Amino acid sequence: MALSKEELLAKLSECVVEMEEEEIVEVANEYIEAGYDALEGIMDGLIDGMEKVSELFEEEEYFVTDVLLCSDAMYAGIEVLKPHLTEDDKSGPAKKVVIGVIEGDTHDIGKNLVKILLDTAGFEIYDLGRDVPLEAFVDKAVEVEADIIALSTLMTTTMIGMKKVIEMLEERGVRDKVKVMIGGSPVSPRFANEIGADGYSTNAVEAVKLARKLTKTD
Amino acid sequence: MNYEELQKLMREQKVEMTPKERMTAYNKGEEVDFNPYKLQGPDPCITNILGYKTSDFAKNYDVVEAVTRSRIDDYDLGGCNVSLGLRTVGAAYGSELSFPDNGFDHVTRYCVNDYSDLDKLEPITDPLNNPAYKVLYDRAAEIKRRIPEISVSTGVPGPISTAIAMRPIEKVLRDTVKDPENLHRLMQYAVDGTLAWVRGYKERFGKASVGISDPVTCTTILSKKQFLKFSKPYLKQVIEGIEDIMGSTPGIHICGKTKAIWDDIVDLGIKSFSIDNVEDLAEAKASFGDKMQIIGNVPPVDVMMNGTIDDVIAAVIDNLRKCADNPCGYVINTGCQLSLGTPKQNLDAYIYAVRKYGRGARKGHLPKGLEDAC
Repeated sequence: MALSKEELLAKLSECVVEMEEEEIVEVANEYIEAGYDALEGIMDGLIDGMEKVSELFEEEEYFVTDVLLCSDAMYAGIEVLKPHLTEDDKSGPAKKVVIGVIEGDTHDIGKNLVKILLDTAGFEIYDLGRDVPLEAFVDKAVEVEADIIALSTLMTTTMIGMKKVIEMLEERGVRDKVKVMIGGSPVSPRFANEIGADGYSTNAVEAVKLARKLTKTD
Repeated sequence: MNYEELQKLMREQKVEMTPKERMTAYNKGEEVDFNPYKLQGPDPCITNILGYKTSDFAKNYDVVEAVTRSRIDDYDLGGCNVSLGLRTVGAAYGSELSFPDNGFDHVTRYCVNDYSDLDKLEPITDPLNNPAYKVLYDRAAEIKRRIPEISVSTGVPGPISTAIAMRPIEKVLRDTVKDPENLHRLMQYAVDGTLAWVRGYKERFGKASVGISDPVTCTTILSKKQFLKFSKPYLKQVIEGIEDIMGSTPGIHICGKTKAIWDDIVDLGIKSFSIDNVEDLAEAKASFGDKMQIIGNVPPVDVMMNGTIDDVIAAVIDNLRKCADNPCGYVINTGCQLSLGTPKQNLDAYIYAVRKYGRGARKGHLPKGLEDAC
């Protein structure tokens, strides 16, 4: 017997949590073939699953690898559902985040986790990658009228670049238009304060909460 | 306290033993002038303090000599250390690295992007002539030539840390679930390349003490299950290999959280464990202090780099109070590598505080100097 809409949504969510990258494609196809709404499939199925993943990560039940594999499953599901979104589904403008790892540092696992969870939380992400020149953060933020710049580093040698980005925003007269949040193991709330950043978070789940707070979308 | 006052007080301090004499007597259970101390990976930091860039250190033996002499004369650190970087074994296998003018190297091309690359990988059979290793062996030889009285120890990265210098970290992490078989093969290459360095070192310089640094093995990155399957067995091979080649047991430093794997680290049978400042020394002492020497863990960024002289002194006192009476002994150190940009005055404050508050140290007992701390 065919599964009900609620059962399929629950299964989509479960496939994300259980990292079922192949099964999720079958379930998503079954969901679409049954004529159910794609947007609901994303929000109440896939995103619901990633929210559970975030909770498990915060509770230290899940680790970095688990989040990566869950997000692989989520994106596999999105690939199936996205072409079926209607124009109406594309809701008002999402809050925009420019994210990257500061110049001189190529450690990007932390940044990628933050990116995945921000994407899941409905932010529009502009990922500049790793080893990003400082001006590129400012240029991109001005170009897309970003709400947030999220800066990451794992290396003390590049921490100072975070301060420079903030100074560049001031020089360009756009400091009040964009919030700056920072993360990475050498930085601390004290450092965030000292350089005049708007916030600091210790991990990817906290980063989403902070981004919501800074854009008043919580 | 300001720097002038600190320097005046330091001139009045008495140092009665060399670092080697102190460590030897301390390990025998004798009372020493003050608690043994280290500063983790200090060369890049000292290079900057002396006004040079890290690229000068890499290219110019005069700078290497100046830094090494500064270690001894300015910071009383005894011997020096020529170690593999975290990415050197990767480079020895063919990963390409970029070395910035002033900073740490990073991988620009991985030698095992695809597992078909692994079939083409040449084992490191002639470490003394492998270009990535040779430059470091030559540096150790030059230090010994210029400063013959100095002992030169060495160090290696842990195998899972080497794995991510051969293959991107996200691929390695996914492999733990999706392609464990190939990851096990990669890990074996990591072990073999590491032990090739150790064998080469012994062949050229004789026996030396070896340390292991393994930042990726922490539970900030790996789950305990992943650690047990993909890190611990290979770490064990590296430890046993070092014992076999050098005849002595290595110590280990792990960055990040480790509490969930402390029992396993004890189980590895190492000499000492250098703990990151995210973990608490008092807890570590209670958990395994009767089995292993503890090293650590003054915060390198918030205290050593960005703190005041008083912050540094307070952190040293806090560390000594928590762990100096560790049954298997305690060496005070920074919780991770000293950062570039750490000011000289904070290194001095650290040494001043260890001498003062660590005075009259004996294994298993709090030092007499702590009585002076308010």
